[in-house]
Amino acid sequence: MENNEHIPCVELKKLVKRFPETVAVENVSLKVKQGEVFSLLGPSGCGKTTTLRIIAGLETADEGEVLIDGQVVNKIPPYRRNCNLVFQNLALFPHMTVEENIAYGLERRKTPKTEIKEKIGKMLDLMHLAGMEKRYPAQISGGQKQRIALARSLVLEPKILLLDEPLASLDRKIRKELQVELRRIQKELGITFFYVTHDQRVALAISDTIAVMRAGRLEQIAPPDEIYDTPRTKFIADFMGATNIFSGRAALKGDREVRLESDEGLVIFAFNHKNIPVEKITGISVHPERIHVLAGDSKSRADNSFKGKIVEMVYQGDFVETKILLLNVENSRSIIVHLNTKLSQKSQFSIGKVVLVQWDKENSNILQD
Amino acid sequence: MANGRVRKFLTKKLNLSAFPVVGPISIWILLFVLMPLAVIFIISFLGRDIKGSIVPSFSLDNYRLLFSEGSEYAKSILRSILFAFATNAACLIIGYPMAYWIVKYGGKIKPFLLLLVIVPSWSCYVVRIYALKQLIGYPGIINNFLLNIGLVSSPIEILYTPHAVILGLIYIWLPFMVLPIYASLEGIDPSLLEASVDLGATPAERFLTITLPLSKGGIFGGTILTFIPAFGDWIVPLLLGGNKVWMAGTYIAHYFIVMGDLPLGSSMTVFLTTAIVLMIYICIKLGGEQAIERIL
Repeated sequence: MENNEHIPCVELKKLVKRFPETVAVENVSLKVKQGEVFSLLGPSGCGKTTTLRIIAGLETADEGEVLIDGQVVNKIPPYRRNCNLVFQNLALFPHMTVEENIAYGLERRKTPKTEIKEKIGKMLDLMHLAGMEKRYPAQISGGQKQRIALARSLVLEPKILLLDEPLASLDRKIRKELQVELRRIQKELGITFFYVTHDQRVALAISDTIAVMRAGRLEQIAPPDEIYDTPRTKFIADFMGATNIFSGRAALKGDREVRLESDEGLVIFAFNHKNIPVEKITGISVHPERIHVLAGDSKSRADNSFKGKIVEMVYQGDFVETKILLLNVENSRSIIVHLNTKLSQKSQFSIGKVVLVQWDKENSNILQD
Repeated sequence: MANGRVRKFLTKKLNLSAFPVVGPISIWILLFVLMPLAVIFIISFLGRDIKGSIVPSFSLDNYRLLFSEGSEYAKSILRSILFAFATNAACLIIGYPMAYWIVKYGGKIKPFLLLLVIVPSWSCYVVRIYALKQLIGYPGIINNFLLNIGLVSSPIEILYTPHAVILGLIYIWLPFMVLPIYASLEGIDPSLLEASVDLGATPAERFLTITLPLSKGGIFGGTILTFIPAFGDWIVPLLLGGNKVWMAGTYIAHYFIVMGDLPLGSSMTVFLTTAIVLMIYICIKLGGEQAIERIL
């Protein structure tokens, strides 16, 4: 048993998939640990769904290996693989009742009738769906369909459950509820989830590990907080909502500090937590909510302080997305800041006012590539 | 208050907003379907004098005659059912794989393949039957060929047998089985098929549990479109069955056109129509709403 824990639940080794027009998956290698929620995050068309379909066996890889529980499964047909897929459109069988849908996989395995009934009962309880047995998919709500699609796969107790953006079609409130639900069910059953999504918020909320994919390649694999706080590349920084990205040349300052001279001529300081060699550094990103805004006449000598003029304010409820055009900079360069709603109501923070923006060097994230 | 109800009734009656939508088609059906049927229905209860004119007196004699012992018409009804059933089964056996093949492997040439299925029905029905006659008769292409290569010593008899009639019916009605089945197969979401495989179904199980049930509408739709016209057909048996194989439709045509016995012909028509309506009803009951959708 102990030994088992070290074998990754799913491992991809140098996976390649080519389509006539493009290369969908290029040299993807990753390991999914037993019992974790692993998210593959990327914009549409980046190859994440293809990767998922290769694991499920619905596509074949051109090169590389897929291992489930340490076993190479490349040649095993999908109906014999110990993994199940929850489809983006759920793919509930419209001519079968809820009960028949959930029983489908068990019947294929020739499970005895009494056992099927018992397992369906348990599943419906787990999904809070008791009493829905006899309904058809057309007669239930979107959220309920979601749970039934999940139940239909989970009842087979797969080694790994593959999920292809199953929450994408739901409205925000239900999506949030189901995220929590998904996590609860996953913890309760201890089944490994492989979750494909383009929504970074969903990925951050449910994952133990996130892999960011771009144009068929993996850019970074790390826990959610690391992906969010210290994205490795410009692409990830942008994708995770760190909209303030500065490219430029870096120099070391002291032991652990980096001094970046941006293309616009700004001097930005950053803390080099990871000891990244200076020649690899290409830029710095800052999340908009990590930037302070002070009144224009305040004197600050802190690092990363710049004067600017508010040019745009977009109300977002809990904050105001504020665009500040930096003054005394060569090209017109602006910074996006999330201004506290209360603060935004003060007169010194209105459109046209000159303000001072400032952030700590700990909040400057160093970008590579 | 009765006054109010009357007014409500009147305004309801006078509400003409739906007329542009439902009106023309209702009038069409009323004038060209229901009224002729009503006329036929009435005539079927009338008598006929020696000269052949219709006598306006109510009688059930026509119907009694239809089912009197040894009635050829009753036999022809049974024969028609048998032929229609055979036609339908053959169309299903040939048409389902055809439709399935086009959907699965048609790729970019799907529209072209479908066109090939439809194109024959653009040419005249009678012309095609005559073409078939040239093929199976004697002298005819098949018999000449078999005689020439010496496989048979005397021409085989196909034309003017029940087989020829069934062959003709299959030939004429096959496209009407392929199209609805094609439509229903094409409408199946591919992810359902993937889901079934993902849940452990072998390709055979997938076909039996997903593809077949979801194409039920197409099968029953195709059945309505082949069984019923085959059941009432009279040109195919006339041309390919000659004088030997008579179907119910042939009798009706015979009594209307050759004998000029309208009341008897009408009673046959009423019976045949009733039987057909009953069968459509059964098909729709079994095939559900999808059957109607697939026909339309």
